[in-house]
Amino acid sequence: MENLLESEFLKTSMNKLEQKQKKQNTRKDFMEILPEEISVQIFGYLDSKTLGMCNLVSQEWNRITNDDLIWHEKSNKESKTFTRYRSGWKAIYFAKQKKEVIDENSQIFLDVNVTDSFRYFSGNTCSSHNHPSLFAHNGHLNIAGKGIFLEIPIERATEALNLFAMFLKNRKYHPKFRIGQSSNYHFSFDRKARIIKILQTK
Amino acid sequence: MTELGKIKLVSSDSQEFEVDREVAAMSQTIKNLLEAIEDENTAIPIENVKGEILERVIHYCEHHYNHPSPKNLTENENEYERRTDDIEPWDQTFCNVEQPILFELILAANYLDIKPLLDVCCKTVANLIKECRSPEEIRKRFKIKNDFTKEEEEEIRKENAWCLDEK
Repeated sequence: MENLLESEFLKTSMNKLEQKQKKQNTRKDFMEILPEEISVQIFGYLDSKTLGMCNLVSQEWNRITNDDLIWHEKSNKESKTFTRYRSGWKAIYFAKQKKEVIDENSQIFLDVNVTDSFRYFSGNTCSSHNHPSLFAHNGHLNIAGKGIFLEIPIERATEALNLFAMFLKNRKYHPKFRIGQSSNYHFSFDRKARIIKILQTK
Repeated sequence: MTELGKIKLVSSDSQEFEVDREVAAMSQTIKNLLEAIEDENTAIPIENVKGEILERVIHYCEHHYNHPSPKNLTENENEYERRTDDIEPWDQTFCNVEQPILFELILAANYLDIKPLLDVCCKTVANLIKECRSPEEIRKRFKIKNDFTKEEEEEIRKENAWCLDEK
């Protein structure tokens, strides 16, 4: 008897719960109805301004509109050199937008593998603020991270990297530096403002 | 017995639809099923889609089967450019439905694997978002609860200041 009561009680409460859920369902936003990859597809159609607005809608919208895939595509619209997914695309996108120079005291570490043709660069991704990535894009060698964006023509990349090294050496920074196929470049430097200057004058 | 060249689809709520085999095969999911099924007369259960939605999906497929759209040039030209202003008038009317229906269409298109339908519905949702001029307007339109604390909202607002003041 008790069992029966219990099950009756369970039934009604289950029904109530279902009704409640149904009610909520009609009010749920699409993010909770649609699979995440579809939400990502939808947001992929938005321009960066609208995406920025979506950032502010709710926690869930904020999370998805910061999705790397969306910003990857935005950062990468014209370039077909990328084949691999990398993190921190939003940062790159913003760095490109702002072309802003970071303050002189902050440090940047680059640790990259350069492939033979400078067509594709792999290495540390710019997932953290102080960790920019180096990559080929649109015929240029790009160094991008939060607050920094350098654009160097590919054909001058070696030259530019040599200049980097010289510049750093003069200031008593000693980057590990080798030119050649699949060389490993390791830079550690600061005062980005000046580096930008050197690269741009050359 | 179904007519020659026709198949029977059964929705989740047991509604039956007779559709041209080739029309139904616009759904990759159904196409794959058809290849696996030997008996032509087997009714195909579409378990995840309600009759009301399945009817619309069939309507979409029939229209596009009879009016094939020219190959989407813009897509080949630049695969990274994602436009939302290129929806055909017929599709615009088709997608001009209440939100819950639009979302169910997306789910159905996803389940049945009908890419053009999925794309056009997603673009429609993107356009609904684009029409909004503020985060608040987006929340209202999609009935979303703002679950940020004041501080969090302020923080993100600062981060996104560049896109808020100009719009």
